[in-house]
Amino acid sequence: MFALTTLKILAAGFMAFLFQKNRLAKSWAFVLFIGVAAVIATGFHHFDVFQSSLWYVPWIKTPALNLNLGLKTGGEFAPFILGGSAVLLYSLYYNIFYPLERDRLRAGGLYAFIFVLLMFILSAGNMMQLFLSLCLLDVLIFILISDWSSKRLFLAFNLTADALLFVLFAFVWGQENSLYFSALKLFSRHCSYPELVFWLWFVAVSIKCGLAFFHNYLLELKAISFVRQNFVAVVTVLLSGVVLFYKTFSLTSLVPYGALAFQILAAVSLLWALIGSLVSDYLKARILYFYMMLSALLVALIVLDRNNFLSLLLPLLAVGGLMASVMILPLIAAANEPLVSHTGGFARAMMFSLFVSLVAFVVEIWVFLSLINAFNQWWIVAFVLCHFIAFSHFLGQVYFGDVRADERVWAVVKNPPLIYFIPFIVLGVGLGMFCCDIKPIEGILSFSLLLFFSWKRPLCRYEFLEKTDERRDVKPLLSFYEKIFLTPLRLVGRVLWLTVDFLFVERVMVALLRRLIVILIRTSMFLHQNMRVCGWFFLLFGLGYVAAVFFWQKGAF
Amino acid sequence: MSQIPFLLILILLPLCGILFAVCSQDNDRTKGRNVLSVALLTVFANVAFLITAFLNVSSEYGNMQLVETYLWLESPKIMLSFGVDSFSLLLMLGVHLALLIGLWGVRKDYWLQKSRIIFTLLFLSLINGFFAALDIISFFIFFEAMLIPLFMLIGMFGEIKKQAGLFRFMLYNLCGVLLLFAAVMVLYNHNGGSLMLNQISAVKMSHVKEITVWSSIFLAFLSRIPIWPFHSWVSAVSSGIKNPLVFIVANLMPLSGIYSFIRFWPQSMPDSIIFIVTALEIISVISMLFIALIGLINKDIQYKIFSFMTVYYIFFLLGGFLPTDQILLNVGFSLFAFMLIFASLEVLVSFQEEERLKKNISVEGILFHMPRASALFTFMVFAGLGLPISAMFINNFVIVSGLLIYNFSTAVVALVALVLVASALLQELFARRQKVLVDAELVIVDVSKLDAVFMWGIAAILLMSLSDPLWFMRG
Repeated sequence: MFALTTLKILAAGFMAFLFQKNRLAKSWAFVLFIGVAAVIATGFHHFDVFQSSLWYVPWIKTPALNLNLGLKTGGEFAPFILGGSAVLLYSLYYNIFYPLERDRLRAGGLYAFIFVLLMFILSAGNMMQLFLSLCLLDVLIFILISDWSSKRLFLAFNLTADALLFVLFAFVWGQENSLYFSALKLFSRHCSYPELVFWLWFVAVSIKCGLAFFHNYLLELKAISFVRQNFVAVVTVLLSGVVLFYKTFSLTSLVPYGALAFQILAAVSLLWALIGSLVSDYLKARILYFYMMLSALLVALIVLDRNNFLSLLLPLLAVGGLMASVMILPLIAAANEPLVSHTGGFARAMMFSLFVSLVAFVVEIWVFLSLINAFNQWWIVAFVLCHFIAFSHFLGQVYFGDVRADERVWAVVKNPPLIYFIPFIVLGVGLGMFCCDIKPIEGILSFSLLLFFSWKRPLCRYEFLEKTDERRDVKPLLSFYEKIFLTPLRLVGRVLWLTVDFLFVERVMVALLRRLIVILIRTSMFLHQNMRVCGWFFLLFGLGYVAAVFFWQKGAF
Repeated sequence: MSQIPFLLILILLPLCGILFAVCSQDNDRTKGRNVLSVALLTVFANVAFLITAFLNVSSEYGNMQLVETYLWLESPKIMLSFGVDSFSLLLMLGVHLALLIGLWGVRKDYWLQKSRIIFTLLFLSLINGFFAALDIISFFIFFEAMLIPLFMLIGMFGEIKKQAGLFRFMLYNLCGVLLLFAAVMVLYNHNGGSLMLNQISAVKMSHVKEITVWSSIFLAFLSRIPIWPFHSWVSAVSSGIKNPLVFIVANLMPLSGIYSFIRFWPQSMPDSIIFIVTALEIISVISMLFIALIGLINKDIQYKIFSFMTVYYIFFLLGGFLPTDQILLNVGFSLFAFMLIFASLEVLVSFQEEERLKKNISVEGILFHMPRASALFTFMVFAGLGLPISAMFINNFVIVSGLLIYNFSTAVVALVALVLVASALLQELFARRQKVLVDAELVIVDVSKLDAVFMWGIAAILLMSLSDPLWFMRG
């Protein structure tokens, strides 16, 4: 049943992708949303997502390899499947009416394809299925990203991660002769090069999870439309990246400091994302920094409490969706003005949006309070603190203070249409159900604190740090890549070409051969002249040859 | 069914095609269409025979089937033996499809079309004989004879500017042929008659003779592969070839070297020749790294494709040397997809070059104005990188895994070289796809719909090969 549901979504995606229509695009996008929602609803109604079921098809049958491709439900896969479905519906919903979206049906079709791949990633029972799906996911996201420079960076980072995973899984298979995740534990014990393999895996996971120092491709997504950006960020970082880490977690035991290394990087990522969300002038970049924070939290939670992590996944994904919906409201209201420095004082025109944002934050705080109560993790406290600082600063900059928007923008600022608030209701109700045991006083307190900090804007004196250069994060990286990696390689290549190809082969070896041939020809010509010395030479040569044959027959050589 | 001499037909059919091509009318009105139709029909007919042959052999490596033997000379008695396994059939199929792509690429180039196609069909016939050869005499004959159409094609249609490079390239290949000739003659005399390829390792020779024979064989096969430090002659010729069909033919030659190594080289080799394998590994990794680095710095796309191909050929050679026969079928699967990919890339590049020269524009951003070519080129580059859209994905995985386990340091260097050639291809893709605005009045023509359909057909074959290129043998 689950396989059938997935196939129906795939078929819907194909239909949308192949029969793109510019006329009535919004209506078709709506039909696609309703269709996929109906398929998911009926699919989940007919089978219990928490009940174990397995569907598979044979994939490779060679003497060296025997593998199946499968879809699995139940157990640990359930939260992933529910989370993935929610992300798909969220994106298809925004895809209907988001103003800057072009090719709605094509994008919708790609969301459906990516969802199917995501299901294969989430329910991967072996490393090859996981790796295959991750690679195909990268290809489809490459198509989905509409900005060329974002495409480039995304591909460069993710292909690097794929190459590292390729080597890692090839190593595991070569050593253990198995591609099932259970082989990883054995591999961790017997690995011949534990340090090397660990760092390969560490870099690959860090790229896929968008952790600090490996996150630039994530930030570059700000150049594409909000719906695509949101979908790509959640699917790559929060779902596939985190799932990759979750499924291959046993590799942390390759080295004694494995878990600690991830915790340190997660902490650095949290801080980096906090600073980034404070100083970045790009509204959409702040959403991405928020996802980076969330990703760091998820990675840290997997390290600390892998068994309970699954119960945290769904509420955390819902929180992510809620926050993205809040942060996009000013962008919609201000005619897609992407810079925070061009906002300010929006509370006057967008009181309802401000109120909804504060309520959303309260819901979020409730969720985190219930998580702290249940799991008692200092990581969640740290995340809440960072998020509180970043979010209050964001609200303060956008809704309070002086009006900095130009006349054109200020003239159109108003609350977005009600259709943008529906996700709040759905996600808010869902999260409210999750944390029904929280006392109202905590909500009122967090509401008041957030309002106070947003209004007083304590961090606004550092606004001069904000830069409007949209490529601020990427330029140093590209320059680093260019100077540290590419230039020496080019230099080595050039030197090798000059010294070996040109100097050694062309100028020495070939020239030597040519000279040798010339000498041989001249000698031969000289010997064939009508001179007495030439006659003597041939006579001596003949005698020498006779002597050599004589002694060879005698066994002298 | 087993009565049909499949292999003889596979060798003779292209020769029949040559007869028809010679007789076909080729003038200003037909513009080479007749001769092209003959060539396409011949290749399709051969592909049909190949697929039928596939259905008559089992899929494991090394199990030679469809064996045919023909008497060539009574005195000295020389028999020509042919036989195939799924590995050699797979390579034959790959070569046919690669040449088909090449023929498609030159279908609008009318200049001396007839001669070009005649030599291509001759090459096809000879390479079929080479892959089917079971004994050393027939192997040597086809190994050497292949050079004739190659030299003619490169010399006549390659449009090579540096004639000295072409001369050295030919000399280099001829040296290899002479060395193999010497080795084959020694083996023939030692044995008192012809030998099957799989019996060579069992021949008992003195230590000096063994080293001499195997070293000659080693150098002869190596002469087909652009190996360091002799790669520059091959690269100068390969990257200078402007015609896609000739480029494809020229770059199928290293395949004969790889295949020869795999077929000749015994898995349990005599102790006296172990040093040759070590030397080969060292030369291989140096060559891979060296050519990959030069491919990265070189701005010419032809050189980048050449470096991509050479690095992969050497990678497959290293895979072929692993001490297990199980991997060889994976090498065959990867090679099959690889041939299709490089041929498609070359043809797509030639389309772009043609447009670039016509419009006198830069190559940067050219694909931005050619959406069909852009999608196809991106697909082929991705397939070339080893992403899961062709047989290269899973089979390269198996080869890398084997290399990592049996020879870790070689594997590391090979992987670095693979990453470098992948970066070189990606660089080219990025440069060609970036947004560049040109003069509004300048219309850059995309590949035609027919071309796109043909190339997407090749892409479909690649996609189907992802799980198993022999999928049609299943069930």
